[in-house]
Amino acid sequence: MSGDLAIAHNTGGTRHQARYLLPAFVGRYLYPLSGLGILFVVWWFGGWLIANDDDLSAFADFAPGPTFAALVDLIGSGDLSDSILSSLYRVGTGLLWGFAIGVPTGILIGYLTIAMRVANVPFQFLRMISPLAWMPIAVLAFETWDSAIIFLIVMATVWPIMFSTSHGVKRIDPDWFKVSRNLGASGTQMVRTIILPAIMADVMAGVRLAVGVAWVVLVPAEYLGVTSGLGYAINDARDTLAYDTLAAIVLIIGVIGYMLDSACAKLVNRFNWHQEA
Amino acid sequence: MSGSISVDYVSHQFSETAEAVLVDINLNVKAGELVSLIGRSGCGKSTLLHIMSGLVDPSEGCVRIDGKTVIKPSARWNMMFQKASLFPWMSIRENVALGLKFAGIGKKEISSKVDELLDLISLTEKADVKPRSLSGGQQQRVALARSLATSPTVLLLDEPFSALDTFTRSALQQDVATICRQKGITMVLVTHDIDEAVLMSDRVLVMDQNPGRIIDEIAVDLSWPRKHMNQDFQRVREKLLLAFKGTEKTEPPRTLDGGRHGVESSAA
Repeated sequence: MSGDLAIAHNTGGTRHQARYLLPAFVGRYLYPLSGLGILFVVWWFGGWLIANDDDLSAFADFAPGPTFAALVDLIGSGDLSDSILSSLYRVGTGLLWGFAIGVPTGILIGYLTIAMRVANVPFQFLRMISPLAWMPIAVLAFETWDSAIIFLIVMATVWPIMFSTSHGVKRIDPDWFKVSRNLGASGTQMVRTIILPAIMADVMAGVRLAVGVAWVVLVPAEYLGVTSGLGYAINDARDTLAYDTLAAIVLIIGVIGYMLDSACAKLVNRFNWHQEA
Repeated sequence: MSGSISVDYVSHQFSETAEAVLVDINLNVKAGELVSLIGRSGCGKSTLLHIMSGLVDPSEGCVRIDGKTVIKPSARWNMMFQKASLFPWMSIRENVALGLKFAGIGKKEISSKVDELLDLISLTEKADVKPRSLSGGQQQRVALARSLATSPTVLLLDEPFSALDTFTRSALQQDVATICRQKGITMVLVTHDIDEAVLMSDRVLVMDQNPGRIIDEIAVDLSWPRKHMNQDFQRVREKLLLAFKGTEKTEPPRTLDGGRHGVESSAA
């Protein structure tokens, strides 16, 4: 009798668990996979339409079939990893400079009202200039193409990081400054122990935005003189009419961009003490 | 014993054109004494406490602690605020240890001191959790431990219990007064709660407003621990209430340039 009861209880528990596990699975995997499936169908249908249109059939290699075949060839040839590494190096270096300039400046303009009042107009003015508009100046100002591209990425990444940091500093509870001064904190201790941990989630949110912009700016920036990177590879594929390779590189750019964004989102959550219990 | 406070001719206004918040405050607090500043909202009692802590520079006059002029905040004269203001990304242990970390104390010494303080506030089992999972009363206990960690000679309390429920407040009032007496810490408490002032102090200073000044002083000659229902407690409470009622009439605001008229505390 008691055994029957135990079995009934266990079965109920499993059913109960299953009821909650299913929505969790749907939220985590099924919805995103459905979205990807829809995108794939639209892509496939677009490819089919192009292939069956006499005026556009020259572009039929944009369809999923040729694209995936080209992707396999690219991976097999080993050229892809070189292109990816070159692009990641430029984005990474640009991002590091954007971080190194953006975070301290953001702290300064967030902490000192007078600094914000002085810097606001020029910074907003500079922020509104497309990073690509700096291209001719970058070519003139820097000795190497690589440096010019990195400069363009810095111009794209510095603003979201700076303004996000400044926003984070403004949100700091003023009582925290009073408490830490009261406990004998020096200026450096205040920055290291209070300000930086308090704003880290905002800084990372800025980095996430910056990574998105940098990745978008990278492709046109790599049209500049260089002979490596994903932007160059796209340009080269277009010039040689290798549309399947071009589409495969676009696919790779999207996948890497998504992975970078996911990594940044994880970092934002890691530093987000607002959500911690 | 150290921790004597001397407030000499302190006047304050927040800007040159603003009304004076405090005028001619003179006050002496003996080392180890428990003093309350009581007055209506806006009478400048919190400003006076901020000046004592060094967080605000007075427009005129000065504050001395153990004979040294207070020019900036220090962990030796620590302040507790209305909000616990714990750092949410730090564990309770890290919050309590903060002042010691700022002072460059070694990890081992910090650890034993923090353990001792967590035991004192009965929160040892919560050492590694984040402040968000604590109640308001527990958070305020942690703030107390954080203030005590640097072994201050003076504890300045800016209405630290006002946001707490009655039971928690009552327990903390007893705890803080007991700890200060046991450790010989000088306490200056700002409050507008008459019972709290009588419960925790050796002496209560009554402040008037517009401009803020000390108008009366009442000694609380009751034995410890104090009970609200005690007849002597009620006697002191009535006395304080009468003095407090005297602050009902308000005078026109004056600036510091408009002549001095502060009533000097007999404690000075």
